[in-house]
Amino acid sequence: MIQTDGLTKRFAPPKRGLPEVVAVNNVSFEARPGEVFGLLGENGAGKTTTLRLLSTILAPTAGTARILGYDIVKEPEQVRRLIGVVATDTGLYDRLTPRETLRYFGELNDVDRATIERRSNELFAKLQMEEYADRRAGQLSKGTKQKVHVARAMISDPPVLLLDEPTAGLDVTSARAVDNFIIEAKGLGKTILFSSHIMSEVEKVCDRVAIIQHGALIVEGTLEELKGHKADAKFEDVFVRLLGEGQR
Amino acid sequence: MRERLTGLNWRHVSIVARKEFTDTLRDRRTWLAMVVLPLVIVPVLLLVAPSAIQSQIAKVEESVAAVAVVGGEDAQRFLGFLSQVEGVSIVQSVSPEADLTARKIQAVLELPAGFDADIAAEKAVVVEIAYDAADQKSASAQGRLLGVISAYSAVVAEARLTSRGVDPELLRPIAATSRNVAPPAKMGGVFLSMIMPMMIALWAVTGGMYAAIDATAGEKERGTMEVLLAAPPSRGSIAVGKFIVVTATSLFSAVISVVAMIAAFAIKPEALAFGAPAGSVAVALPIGRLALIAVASIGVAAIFAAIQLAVALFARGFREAQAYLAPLSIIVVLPGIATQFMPAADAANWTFAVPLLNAIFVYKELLEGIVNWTHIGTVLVSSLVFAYLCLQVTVALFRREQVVFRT
Repeated sequence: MIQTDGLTKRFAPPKRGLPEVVAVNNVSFEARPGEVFGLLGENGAGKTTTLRLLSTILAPTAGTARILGYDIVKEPEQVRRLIGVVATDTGLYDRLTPRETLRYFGELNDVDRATIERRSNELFAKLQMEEYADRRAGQLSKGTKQKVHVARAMISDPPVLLLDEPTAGLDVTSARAVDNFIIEAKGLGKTILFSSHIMSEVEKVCDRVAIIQHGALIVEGTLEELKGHKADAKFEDVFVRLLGEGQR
Repeated sequence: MRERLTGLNWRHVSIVARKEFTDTLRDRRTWLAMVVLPLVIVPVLLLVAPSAIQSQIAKVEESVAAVAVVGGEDAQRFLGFLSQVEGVSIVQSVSPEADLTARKIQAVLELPAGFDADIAAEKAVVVEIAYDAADQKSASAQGRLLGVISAYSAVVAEARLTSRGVDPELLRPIAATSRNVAPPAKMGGVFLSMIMPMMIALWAVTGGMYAAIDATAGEKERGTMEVLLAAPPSRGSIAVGKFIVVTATSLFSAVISVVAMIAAFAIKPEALAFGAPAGSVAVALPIGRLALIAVASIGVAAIFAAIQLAVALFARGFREAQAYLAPLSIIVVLPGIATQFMPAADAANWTFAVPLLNAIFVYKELLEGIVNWTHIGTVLVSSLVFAYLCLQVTVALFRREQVVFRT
């Protein structure tokens, strides 16, 4: 369960004399276990900042959030034990193999060696990347690297997943493998926060969504609700219309 | 949410350190900076460069200086003496000053009119040597001519005394001979103490630099920092894990440089001291004192590791970090240069409280054969306190969003 309560993040102005930047403005929503909650918005809308606030690497200026009841401001270390993060534009340690990367993050999450080994093999099999498990990450393709990110986020079997555009820049096959993985994780009862601006993907994996514009949440609901219960409506059109309404 | 170095999770520290060791030891740049460079540069700096200078000096000294004599018509006796001297050749020149400037000749010797007659009349005679101090060969020719004139003066003086029935030995009532009581090993220790401290400081910085950059600015540049900070360990545990690895890398590099230095001088001890007679200098450091040099270096390596981590963490990427850290390798040798000719006994008490400076004097003591446990302890304690403070800065920087996301 993720509950955000008036979550706000303001950054110092990039130059003196300019106003401060409000990246996230009083955002409140709730994502439940066994649900993929989509956080949608255009580039720069505040999706990544929201996810960074939830992963405790940024501190909110106002408001807070609770992850399985733990406060991100007061109990950041407990929060970090409950989350698996796939962030946009992240890299891997080029000189470590996927297996070593999973071992590193598994140990950092206090998972024992035997469990790490077992889960690593399961994850490599599920993501169809066994043959790359012992190659150095520097030699892997972008798609395989992204699969390593997903596997790394899952190595501690966290109840909450924060996924920031996990399929960005991937080919169709790799993107599909990642999407299927997310759907499977949902089935295991995990709470999944999923940010994206690819609407076809959103339709495929998300149960409920919130649309963020200029840092503020403009609408929240199930895909059905947002489509106005018209089964044949394209969600991309709905998204563009809602953004247009938000502008006014 | 304040995270300090207290309350560290040592399990996390060791996990981070183990990963950083693996990562850094697989990086060719670390090996280059940590092992290859000291193994190559130290012997070159200590053996090849001085022997090149020595052979250059020898070349100048072996060359024959062409000297033009002006007004030598009345100085046949002196010219006869001069022509016997090895390494000086009298040449004819129409415009001696121009030839000297053009480096065709190395000196011009101007003799006054009636030179031989004035000497015979026991008058004081002044000669002038024109030379080009900007030209090594000319400067060497000037030295040789001064020697010739001094020798000729002695011959003339002896002849004058003999003609008066006075024994010339009367002018030399005391003859002195010197005997060096310092054994070759002690001589070697003193000469080593002039070079080794700055070499250790230099390699302690250079050896750990890549590891420090890779563990901080490198994480930012690769985009691995964000997921690392989203993992459970506190930023203090992460910083200390990285600090341990950078300190070890720096220390290893400093030790390699000491080994390279000792090996170089063991092969050619004369290279330690310019012009020292063969056999008068030797390198003989007992293993115990070598180990103490390594122990004292732990503090130095820890200080540089902490400083480099803090500076490199602030940088946006690898190149920016390199630009910030490059001046450090020049700055660290300055205390070594400033104290190069200062024996440890001359060090004021307060210097033993100053990090790096105190290590330099402890190195000097150890190389001179003195083991002062108070000084060694002071070096370790003060360095580790200083490194701890620098680490606090690094942890504080790790907590600053403006620094961690400064990409």
